[in-house]
Amino acid sequence: MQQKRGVIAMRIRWDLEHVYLYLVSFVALILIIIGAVNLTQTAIAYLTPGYDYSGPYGPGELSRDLEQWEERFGAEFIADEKDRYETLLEENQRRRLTRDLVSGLAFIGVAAPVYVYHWRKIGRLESEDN
Amino acid sequence: MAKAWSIKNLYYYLVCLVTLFMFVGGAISSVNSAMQIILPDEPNVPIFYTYYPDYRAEFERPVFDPPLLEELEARRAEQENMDDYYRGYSTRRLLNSMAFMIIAAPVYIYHWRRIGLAAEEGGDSDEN
Repeated sequence: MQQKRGVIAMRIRWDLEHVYLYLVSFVALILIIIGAVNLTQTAIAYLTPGYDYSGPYGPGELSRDLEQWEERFGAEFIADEKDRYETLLEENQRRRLTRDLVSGLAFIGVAAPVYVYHWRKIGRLESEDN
Repeated sequence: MAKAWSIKNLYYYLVCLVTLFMFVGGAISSVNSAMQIILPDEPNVPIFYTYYPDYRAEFERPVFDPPLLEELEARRAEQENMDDYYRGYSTRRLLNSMAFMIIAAPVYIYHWRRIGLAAEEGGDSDEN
């Protein structure tokens, strides 16, 4: 038992360098996970597009003076306005998804080299120690 | 590398840890800000948001008397220009993020080198 404890104590290195390398690897891994979650959420948003409930043509706003606008400026004007709004909305959603995609990739792209470098360093140190 | 639990080594490693992740955070934030500049949202102001009916006590219903279409379009253009103005903050955010990287990098490099020097001076012993 005493010998077994001794072997374990030899394997666990609590020196500053090990603690530092493990801490950096831990935080970098968490950043990679956040990036992966962001990418997954972006993919979900892409596959399940939402509806603009709070916009001027959403159900909550439909009654709002639209009839009066239509009476004053004509149905064609309202239809053109709706087209303009929805086209811009769709383009903006596409831009937002692209930005979210790049953001997720940035998390992974920046954190991954940090993680790989420090994790390999741990491996090298431990093989040297053994 | 220095391994011993001395206050000096602990300080060097802590500074490296913090500045490294300041750099990482700055880099991620820079990419996000750059994307806001490269691929911004187009202003999208519905014409209905440029005029609101007057609510007056003497009338039962709000008075709907909008100005001419040209005036409404001018109001919309003004509101959309305001959106453009707020978008100018993306440039400031990008510079702020780059400041994190530019300031953290030399601090990290200096302290990382000090760790190496401390090891050479005999600070890598676990017995300190």
